[in-house]
Amino acid sequence: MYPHERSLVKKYKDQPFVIIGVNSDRDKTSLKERIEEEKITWRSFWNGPQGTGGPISKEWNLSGWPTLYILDQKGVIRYKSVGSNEKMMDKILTELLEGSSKKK
Amino acid sequence: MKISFRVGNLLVLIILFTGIGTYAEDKPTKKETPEEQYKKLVRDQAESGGKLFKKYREVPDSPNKKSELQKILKEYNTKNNEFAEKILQLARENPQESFAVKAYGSLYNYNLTPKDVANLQKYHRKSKEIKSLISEFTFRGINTKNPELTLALSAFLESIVKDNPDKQIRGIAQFDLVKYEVFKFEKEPGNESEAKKRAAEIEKRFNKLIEKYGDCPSIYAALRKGETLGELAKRELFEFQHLRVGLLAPEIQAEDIDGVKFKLSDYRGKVILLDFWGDW
Repeated sequence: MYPHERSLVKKYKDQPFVIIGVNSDRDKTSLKERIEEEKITWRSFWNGPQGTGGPISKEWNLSGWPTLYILDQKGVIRYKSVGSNEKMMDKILTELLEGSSKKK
Repeated sequence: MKISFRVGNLLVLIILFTGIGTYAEDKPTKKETPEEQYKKLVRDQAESGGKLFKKYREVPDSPNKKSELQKILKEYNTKNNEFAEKILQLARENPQESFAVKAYGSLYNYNLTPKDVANLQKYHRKSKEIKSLISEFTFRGINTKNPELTLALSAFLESIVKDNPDKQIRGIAQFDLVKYEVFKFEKEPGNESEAKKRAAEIEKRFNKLIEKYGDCPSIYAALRKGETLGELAKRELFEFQHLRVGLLAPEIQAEDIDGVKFKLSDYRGKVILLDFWGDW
């Protein structure tokens, strides 16, 4: 997960692309250490002290962790998956990012 | 009349005689029934897997450890596939036997043919055994690129809804059918007015399912604290109405890890990979 995400950040650093997390750790102190260790540079919402039972994941009807969504430039859902499918995500991101830069 | 009667008797006698003869001769090495063969295959498969697992765990530390482990893994896969092939063949030769349901259910690596599914429909649409199999099948069917298989699976599910005496099984099959529609819709929603019509139709089917089968346990009941089909269908309906591919994502407004408030829409104009994660 982290290595793939780090590689995406690097690959698309000059593109309109961002990773946003919704983090479900209960303990923010140890989480901050892990963020440091894993070089997680992207921003995350915090799902609150209930962890995986927090309000954001509840609102988003989450059935498993991790769950990934890809939203396009207009905020429209273009992909979702419970569990990580790196190949598929790469494909969609290529379509969205490389398609858009070629258009104009 | 009299003659033919006699001939008949004689025949019966001959048959009886040879029958007994064969019986006596074969008794020590009595041929196994297909079900016995199936049970034996499953036993042997488990035993062979267990042996290799043990071997895998006992590989000593050495510079070659990694390649040794890979070799065992490969052997495991080969052996396992050999057994699976045999099990599949046995099920195909005896599609009417009840073990065929179990056999098909265990072969999740295999691409089933429309014929396999048609046989399950023909012989097992009324059986209780198919409960553990149908959702698994649907999941596979949804992911297949073979339209004939998808059709066969839909027909199978519909026959279950029509003929299975167990209400829960009918409900699960109905749920799976609605899931098929959702999947097809998400893949190709059609033009705007068409999409609207189809979406309304799917919502109607969800609501009908909730009304009719809402109180039955869902297929995940054991995993999810007795979840009912109604609860599961409501979740799926919510997902369909608010979180499906093609819809504007709901807003998120909350604090980040450092306690700073921000909104998902702050990043409009960018492609967002939204990752629900945890480091627990």
